[in-house]
Amino acid sequence: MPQYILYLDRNTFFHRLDPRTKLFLVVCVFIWSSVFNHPYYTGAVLLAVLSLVFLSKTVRQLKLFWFGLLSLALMSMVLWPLFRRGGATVIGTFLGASFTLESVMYGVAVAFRLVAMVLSGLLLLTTTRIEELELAITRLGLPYPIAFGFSAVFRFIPTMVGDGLTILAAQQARGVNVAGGSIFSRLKNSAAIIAPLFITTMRRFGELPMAIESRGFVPMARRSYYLSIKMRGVDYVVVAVLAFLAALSIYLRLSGVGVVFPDVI
Amino acid sequence: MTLVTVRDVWVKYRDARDYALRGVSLTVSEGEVVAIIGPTGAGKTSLCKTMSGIIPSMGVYDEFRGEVLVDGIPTAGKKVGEISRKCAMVFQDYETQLFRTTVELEVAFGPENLQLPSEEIARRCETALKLTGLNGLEKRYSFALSGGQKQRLAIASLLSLQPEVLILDEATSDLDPAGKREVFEVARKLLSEKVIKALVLVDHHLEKVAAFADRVVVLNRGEVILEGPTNHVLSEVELLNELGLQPPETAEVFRRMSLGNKPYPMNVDDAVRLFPPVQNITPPQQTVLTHAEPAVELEEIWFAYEPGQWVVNGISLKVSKGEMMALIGQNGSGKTTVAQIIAGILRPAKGVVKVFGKDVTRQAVMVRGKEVGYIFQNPDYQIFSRSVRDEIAYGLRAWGMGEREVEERVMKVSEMVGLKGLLDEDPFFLSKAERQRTAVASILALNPKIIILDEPTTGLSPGETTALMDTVKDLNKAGTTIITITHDMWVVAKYCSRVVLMSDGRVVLDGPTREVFSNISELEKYDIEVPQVVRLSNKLFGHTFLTVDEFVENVKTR
Repeated sequence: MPQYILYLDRNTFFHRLDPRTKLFLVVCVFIWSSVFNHPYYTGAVLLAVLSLVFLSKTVRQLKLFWFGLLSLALMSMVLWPLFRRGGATVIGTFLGASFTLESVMYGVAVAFRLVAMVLSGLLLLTTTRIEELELAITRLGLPYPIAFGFSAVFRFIPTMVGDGLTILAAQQARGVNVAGGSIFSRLKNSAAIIAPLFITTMRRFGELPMAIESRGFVPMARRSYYLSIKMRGVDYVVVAVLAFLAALSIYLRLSGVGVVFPDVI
Repeated sequence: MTLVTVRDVWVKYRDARDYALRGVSLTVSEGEVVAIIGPTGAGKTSLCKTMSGIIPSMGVYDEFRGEVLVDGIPTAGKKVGEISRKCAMVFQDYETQLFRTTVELEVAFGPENLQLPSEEIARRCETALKLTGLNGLEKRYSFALSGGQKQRLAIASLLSLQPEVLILDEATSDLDPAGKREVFEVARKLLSEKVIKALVLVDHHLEKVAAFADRVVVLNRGEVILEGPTNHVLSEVELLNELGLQPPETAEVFRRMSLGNKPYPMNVDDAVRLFPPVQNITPPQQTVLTHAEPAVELEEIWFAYEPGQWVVNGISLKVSKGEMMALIGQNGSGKTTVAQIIAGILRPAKGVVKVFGKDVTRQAVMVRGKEVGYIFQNPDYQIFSRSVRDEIAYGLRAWGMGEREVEERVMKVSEMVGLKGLLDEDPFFLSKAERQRTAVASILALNPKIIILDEPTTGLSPGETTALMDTVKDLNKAGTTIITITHDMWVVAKYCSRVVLMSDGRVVLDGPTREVFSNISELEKYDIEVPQVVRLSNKLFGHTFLTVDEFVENVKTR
């Protein structure tokens, strides 16, 4: 059975950080990569995130995603130069439209930015148990039902994938051709997978409140937690460094550093 | 002391045609095991939900009347989360009750709600996991467990709440016989060690009920129609048969042969002791398997889901044309994997699969689908059309068959499986048994020459099981080759001429059902429990009668 839960149980520095620190890192990655639009700067952010992925030994765990991330980056590199016009350095003309070095650089910068953002989220999920995240969210002051809802979504991904694969086999065994035929018949046949998956999932989620309460859960009541999370000295240091870098990045942007186009994000 | 009191409860679900419960009263006392039995739709689950407070506080009802007391306190106005701490229910669909990532955290969820400190939670987790035989799996992902393990995990996750009353609503339907027995034994142990104070169980397996329950309540159409000590109630053979339930075979033998008075013996030992002297016995005929040309041939099949962990270890197997074969074995023995390899859903790592003499090892499942039909355990994985008619017709239309011919086939098949009156219904609103029939019909319509059924009768009552298997038997008589995976040994005894027993990815016994089933001690090594009547006839006369009918016809007492 393939793995559809991202969490990988390792004992690295990054794994040991408090989930709140890791959440703050994700926020900071979003800030850093959003304030700059120069590829050197967003590239530096991406490099930082990538090195964290290496340090946390989760590269293999993300093997399902590398292709998707690469496509995302390529798409951005191709599309942005078409839409983000402006700049003075014309480097070529294609089908009557001229492209500037600035717009290409912007496309690359946004590509780095998007990959860094997605990757930081994935990094959080590969190094943190869903239940720990849930706990972190509650500790940050959000009501437990919201935290639980958040974790339930991730928890049921593997179940849904499993259901989907069984449904696919069940339908193929009765002659439903999902992979061939005209576009129209493909669409029609994909309903044979989606409809049962939808119904199965709805049944499951429909019974979830009953299932939770049957385990002694009372909405909005206080509860204790088996797992414990604790902000240790190192967490505070990391948070302080991250906050400083975030402030610095905003200051740099306001001073006009790290941008190709100063008046857009 | 009375732990649960149900007083004149009436329940009508929103927009339902009729009441689910009509004036049900029931008490559960300390130290007691109460079994609730009845046909599908009798209201068993509704009654359980009422006791655990889910009805009326969750869901929508047109009407709820009556009173329920748990531990002397009315459940009215209380939250399910509060009631479940005292009276906890394991759902029939146990998958829905699992929603954490790992085994340990699943079990910890309950005690967390009780605001216990984490050392106490750890202690309770350990106890609950040990009691259910899941210790050592603490860090495993709960969704990656086998069906049986999941069912035990659902039980463990409620035990950690340390409720006074535990309700098992068909909570062992997916377990093999050994697993079922283990769960009941665990429950019994919990009761004798006073971990819980009372146990309520809903189960179709009346032999197990006979072995574990003190008292039985029979529900039909929302009413309690009979209640009393287990052996008295289960001796009402005619009534139980009429309801489509299956009384213990020993009771049925004694009733049909008019041996002695009620209560009849509930287990083989008592039956042997009470059986009168015999006048004459017509020994059963040895079954000879057909050696017609092979329909399926497996040659040295190897399969692994994860590299190096072989689930199927070099199996070779031949299934002859027109055979009706049962594939049995414990959960995890590789039955489903083998069946899916035959259907082409899985591809073997090594070995050759032949269907009607043709090598189809590399052929896709869709091509093979015309010859091999596969019926999955859960009909909801197949059904997606808005009417039963469209569902059955789907495969035929996909083949490009003409509308008139499609209609003809649909009519023929729906008559065969008893769905004729439901063709225009939306399958979504049908019962599980009817949805199972719809799934079966949609495969039958394709007219496959080989049909594989993967535990087709899970969650069906014995009456519904018989109806389904009778249809399958008719197909077999008409020449279809049938391979069925099942945990119900009475189904094997009644319908299948050949049995293949698997263990650890290998075939360990293979032969005519009578021959294999007479080898009781060998089967016990693999935790296979043959039907009572097989054990009874073996102990009494050294012969193997497979069904009560056979026994009654061939044994004459003085």
